[in-house]
Amino acid sequence: MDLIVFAILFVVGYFAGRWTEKRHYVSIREREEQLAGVLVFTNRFPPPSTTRVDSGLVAGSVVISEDFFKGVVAGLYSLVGGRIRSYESLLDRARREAVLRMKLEAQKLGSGMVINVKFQTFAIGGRNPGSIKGVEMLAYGTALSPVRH
Amino acid sequence: MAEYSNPRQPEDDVNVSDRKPLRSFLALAGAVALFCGAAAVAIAFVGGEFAHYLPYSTEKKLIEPYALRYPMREHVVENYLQALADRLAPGMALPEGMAVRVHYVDEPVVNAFATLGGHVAVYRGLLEKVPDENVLAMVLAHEIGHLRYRHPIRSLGRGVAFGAAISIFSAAAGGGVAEQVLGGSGMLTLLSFSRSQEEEADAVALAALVAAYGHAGGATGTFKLLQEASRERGRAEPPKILNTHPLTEDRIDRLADAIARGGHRADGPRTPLPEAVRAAVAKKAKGTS
Repeated sequence: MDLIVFAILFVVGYFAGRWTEKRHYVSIREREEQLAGVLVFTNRFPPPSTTRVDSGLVAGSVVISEDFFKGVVAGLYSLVGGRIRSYESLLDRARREAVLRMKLEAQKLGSGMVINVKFQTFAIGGRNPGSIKGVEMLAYGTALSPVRH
Repeated sequence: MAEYSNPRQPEDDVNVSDRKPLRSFLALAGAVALFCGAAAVAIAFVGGEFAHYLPYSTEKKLIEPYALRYPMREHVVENYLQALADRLAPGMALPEGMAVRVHYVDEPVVNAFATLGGHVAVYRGLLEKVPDENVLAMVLAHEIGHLRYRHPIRSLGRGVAFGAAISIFSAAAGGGVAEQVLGGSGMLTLLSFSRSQEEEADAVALAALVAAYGHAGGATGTFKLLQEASRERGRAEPPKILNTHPLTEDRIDRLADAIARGGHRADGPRTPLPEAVRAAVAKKAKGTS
């Protein structure tokens, strides 16, 4: 009985997970094109050529859940060791989505550049067996925008 | 800010290395399943090999609740079978304290089996088919041979260990296996023996038959009978590797070999089944079929 439940969850997890991931990547690429005008850098200071600008904190955060399939594959990796490759796409999506949200916020402030960009990540759930496992990705930085007055 | 730009993210993202997750899963699961399967088989093997170190008295206690359901009956056929077993058993070097108890099962199946606690069951269907006592004695001796080597407890140990191993991965599936082995009738009738165990039992059975009757008449007849019975049920014998029982032809050949090597008389005067037993079996057979 528990094998049947497992099989259903596994198949649903695989197809639903693939479908959402595909759609997410399409959306990510689209918005990356749209927001290409907002530049992001990890430099702590603005470029030397920069004239007087306003600065403000911008942040983008996203929480993405694994699917059942990814969890099972990760469990198998945890048995044999090696890279947990099934989680790589999860984290990649989270990272890019967080940057996109941060860029969107910067764009709203009229900024074309975010410097000193940093990432933070936090695992959600997963402490108890069978609980939902997800990851929060937070990207934040300093948006530079032309002086307003 | 013209000197600064952000490169476009390449389609082929270096941070996502697994393009075929299903294939990775199959490879991983295959490797893990192979390992776990091997482990389960190894555990089952160990369970089977060590089960016979369980003292016979413990085995008897284990079977007690089931054995109580089938008390000794004053039945002409059962008495006869018991007497026959008592005649065969002394020469078979049974483990200390083991007493063979034969049960007569009033069902038309052509079968007999040995199980835990020294119990042997003989079905009416078999008694209808046996031409004389010698053939029946070979069947009984074969089942007692299983008891002598404690095959039932080994089979049980193997089954329980396998169930326990499986339950590490799936509680329900493992429980199912263990339940089938341990639960009620399964424990009594579904114990399966390996081919080499069958051969062991055959060898001691032949010796006991010769000791009891002075010749090996009836030894090969037993298996011809079983072969006919399985043919009647419309089942061809499965290929050798799939079958744990030695193929009947092989078995007959091996027995004939053993008879020749042992210098036994191949045949001699056969003892008929007692008239009272024949009559009781025939009467029942008419009544039900």
